[in-house]
Amino acid sequence: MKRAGVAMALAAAVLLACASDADQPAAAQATAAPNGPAAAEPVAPAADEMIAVTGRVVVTGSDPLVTLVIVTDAGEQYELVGEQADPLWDLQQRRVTVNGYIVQPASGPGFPAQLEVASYSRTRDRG
Amino acid sequence: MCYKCCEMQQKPDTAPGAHRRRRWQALAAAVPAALTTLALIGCSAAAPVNAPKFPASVEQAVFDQMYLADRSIHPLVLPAATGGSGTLRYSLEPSVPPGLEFDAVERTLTGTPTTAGTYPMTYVVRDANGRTDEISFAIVVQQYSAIGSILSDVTAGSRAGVLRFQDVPEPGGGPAVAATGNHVYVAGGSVFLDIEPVPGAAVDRLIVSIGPEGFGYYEIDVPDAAGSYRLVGEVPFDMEPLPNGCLYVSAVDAGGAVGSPACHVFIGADTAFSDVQVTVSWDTDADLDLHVADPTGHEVYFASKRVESGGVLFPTSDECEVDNVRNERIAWTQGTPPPGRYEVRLSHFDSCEAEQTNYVLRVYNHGTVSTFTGTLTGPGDDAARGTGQVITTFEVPGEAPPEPAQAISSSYRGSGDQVFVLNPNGEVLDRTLYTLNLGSASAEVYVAATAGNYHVDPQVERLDLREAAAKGLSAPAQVVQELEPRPALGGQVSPRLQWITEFNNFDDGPPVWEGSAAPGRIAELQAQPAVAEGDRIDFYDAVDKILVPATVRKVVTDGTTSVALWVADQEWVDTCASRGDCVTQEMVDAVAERFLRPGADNDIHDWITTIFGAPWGPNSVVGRDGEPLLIPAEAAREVHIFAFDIENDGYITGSRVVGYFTRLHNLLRQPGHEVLQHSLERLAFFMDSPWLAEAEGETWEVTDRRPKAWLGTLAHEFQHMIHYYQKPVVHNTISETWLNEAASEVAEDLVADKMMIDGPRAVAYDDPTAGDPGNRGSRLPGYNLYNDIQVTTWDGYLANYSVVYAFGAYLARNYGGAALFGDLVQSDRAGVGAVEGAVRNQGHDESFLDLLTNWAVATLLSDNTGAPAPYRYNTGTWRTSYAGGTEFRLGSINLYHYIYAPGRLARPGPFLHPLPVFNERTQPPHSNMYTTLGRHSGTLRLSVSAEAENRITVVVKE
Repeated sequence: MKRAGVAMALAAAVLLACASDADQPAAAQATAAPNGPAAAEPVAPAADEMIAVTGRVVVTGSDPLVTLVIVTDAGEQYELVGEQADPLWDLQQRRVTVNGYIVQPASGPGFPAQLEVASYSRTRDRG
Repeated sequence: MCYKCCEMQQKPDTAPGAHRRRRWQALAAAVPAALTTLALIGCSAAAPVNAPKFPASVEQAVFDQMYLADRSIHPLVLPAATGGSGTLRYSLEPSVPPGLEFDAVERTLTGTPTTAGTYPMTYVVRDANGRTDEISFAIVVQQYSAIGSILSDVTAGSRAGVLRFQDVPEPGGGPAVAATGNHVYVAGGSVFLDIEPVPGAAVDRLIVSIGPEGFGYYEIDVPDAAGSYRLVGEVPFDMEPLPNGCLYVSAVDAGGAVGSPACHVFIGADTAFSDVQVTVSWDTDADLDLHVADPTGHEVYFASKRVESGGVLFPTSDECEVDNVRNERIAWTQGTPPPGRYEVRLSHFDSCEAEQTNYVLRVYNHGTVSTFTGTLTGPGDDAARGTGQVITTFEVPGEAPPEPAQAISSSYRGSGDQVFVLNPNGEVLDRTLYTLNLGSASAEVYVAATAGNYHVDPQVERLDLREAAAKGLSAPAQVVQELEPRPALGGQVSPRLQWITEFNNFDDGPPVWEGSAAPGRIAELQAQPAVAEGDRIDFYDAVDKILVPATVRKVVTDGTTSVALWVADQEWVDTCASRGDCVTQEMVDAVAERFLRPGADNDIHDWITTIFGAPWGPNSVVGRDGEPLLIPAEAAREVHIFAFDIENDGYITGSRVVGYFTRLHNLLRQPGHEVLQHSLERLAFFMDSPWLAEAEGETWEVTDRRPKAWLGTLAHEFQHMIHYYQKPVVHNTISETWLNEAASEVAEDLVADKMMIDGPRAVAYDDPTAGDPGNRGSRLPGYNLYNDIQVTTWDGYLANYSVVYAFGAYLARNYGGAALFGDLVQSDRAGVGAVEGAVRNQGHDESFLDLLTNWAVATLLSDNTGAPAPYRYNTGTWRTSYAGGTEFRLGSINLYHYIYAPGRLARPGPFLHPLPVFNERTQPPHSNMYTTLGRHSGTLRLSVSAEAENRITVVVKE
């Protein structure tokens, strides 16, 4: 399922319009289930709502109990889970857009919301 | 000669666009005689010798110009002619449109046209003898309309829209439509709109406007058929700043009744005009990349958004459906586009699940517009520099710039080791000739490639001696090491990897973010008495997900903090049921006093907290209901170490896990939660007891090999505990595993001599030198073999430990040791940013790419105790640093002393790729790779290519 609705796309595009010639458009970021209390009021998505998250893939924690997460530019984190997350281990430090479902809300520092990955795509350097 | 007629004959069907052709056709119809005459003269008559002549590239540079009435034009500089005799004089005939002026000296057309119309022009040059050359073109002045300033053309298939300079018709019962498509309007781009009439509607034509307030509209006849219509609009290259608004599309039936308009929101990208612009637009969520290579050798594309010549990529579209931009534009908005040949390529990076993507690519070159269309299918492919399908090339007129400097040279001073970074400031090397003058000295020449940016895939494109030879240059004999293929990293994977997924999935109970800790739990914990020897508990092993009965066998305190050493009951000597040796009181006493004892600066707890900070303390993390989520600050009074057989595998037959830390126990217990119900609500880490209990001889000594490794691991796991508190809890940032593990490895390194253990460098703790050759111990043999993998990744391989230790050990020995790593762990930045920030705090300004480059050199020079800063792995003595007033010492490292063990692979020193492999290999980001060119004297010439995100370094060793 593609990201539904025009509203979010337009949010990104409005930023684009305000940017200078040299700037990059900021990507729309999902605001659902942020990583912790430092983030603004979290808005929990409906349980069956697919969200798209763009950010950098990193592995966090200490071995062997490590966690694959995606970190948005705003610092929100989502743990990437499910079979479709496996290939993302090979994209550490890269920017990707992940589409998926929140299956577990954030529990606290080091325990970000779990995002079951449905699909993903590589994205670009933001310079 | 007549460039116009030749241009028309040569022009492909796709260029220029339909509107441009229509304009030309209209022009031709209006003034057929004049143009035909000129065409005959120009194309059939040979120019006399010495007659003035316009350059051949003019045919691409001057075309018909379209201007809006009452809008000032961008100055149009017409080309100069060459040849002829005497002074050349230029004229624009018969006369320019009203409002415009032609400066014959500067050959420049300026002004504001006032009257709409089509004006055929002839640009003439005359020399002193009256001989001429000329160019024919047209100036079309259109009446200004609001819609016309946003879209210069609208078509529906082969049907062209007609711009009506009238008020927009008001709706009156006609058929309704819905409009979907691109929202972002970019100068020179195209807009795709899909118009869906209501079922059963009979549509005769469509009207496109910006609403009743905006004067003018496009009217497009459409076939009255069921289904939707695809409208394609063209955005002017000189699009003015565009406020967000609605593009209205309404349908008209055969009776003239106009339907309610559908609003389709548009947003204008803020772009500046340029004499050279390339814009591509497409109709799906696919990720396309526009590349334009300019005559100076620079290529503008997503990984190089701004180049020296003034070319800028903006906007970019890089997020599949997320950004919805669907346009990329490259324009020389900063300076004058350099003259010469430009190459335009389009890369299909990611289909983003679109079955096919239609694109329109338009080129604006000093008033000339060319349009190219196409369809892309398939999954998408690479988009690196130099990739993509060539769409077109074009010439910008003018004097070609001198050939860019494509040569670099270095001279070896004749003795010692010397380092030459070929592109220290990120200069792009494009088959650059590199000359290394070695003189009469005989020296070993190495090359290191460093990949920096983690957002792209940098690689060394070529370092090809054969190419140098093909250029007639003397190429040295190629040295290819005969090496067995290295074992795949997968062969070293720990079974721990399988736990990762399980761990990721185990936390699937009810959410705790809502705050389900028992009310008053914090107060209970604050009042909780300290543990005492003999206390029992069943603790939760997060690896095997089992409960393990254990008993406190030792409690020690330094007056402020206590450490409790728990031993699993089945591992305790009195009730031993272990698969390995069991733990005795002697062992517990020995390790407990090394972790904590009264007094300052005399135990692991003191040293590690001095370097990295507190393991726990105040925190204010609460759930959404305001209840605390984490254990109270008072928990820092007690550290708990649980010794048991991790994985129940006896000695080291299993995963070789000597210890682990989990943040699970730093959270408050959550009754009913599958995992968090097992939180110990204490600062705890876990150690493998068979490692502790393994004796080298008949009697156990704490100085035996395994117990010493166990002691080192206490420091390692304790750093992880501190890291969790300092990063995610205190600074609300992530703890990237590669950096976390690097810090723990360096923790062992920093305290090795104090603990009297050999540490990860595997040299005697009291030996400040790099020890002896033939070392097969600890981490560094693995670094030698896998010195080309990404530093900033973590896959659970032993090689990951090796590489992060080698990098951390390098940083610690060159950028501040204990103080550096304290800054790094206590930074509010994560990963690469934390490293750069900590290095800066120590008074250095190296970027991460610089650090990687310097590390590569240090690796190659680690056998040189006289290597200068910042290449000092090996000074032959201690490297000292301070934290909290305590001195920490690091011994020297000579990587040529370390041998990777197995079979025929066994060899000392850093792994060097054979040159062909070095050239062909795609280098992962944040990595180094090495090759040798062998020993040479005289002059060595190479052809070198590298991206801006690569560094190529030549290291000459005597």
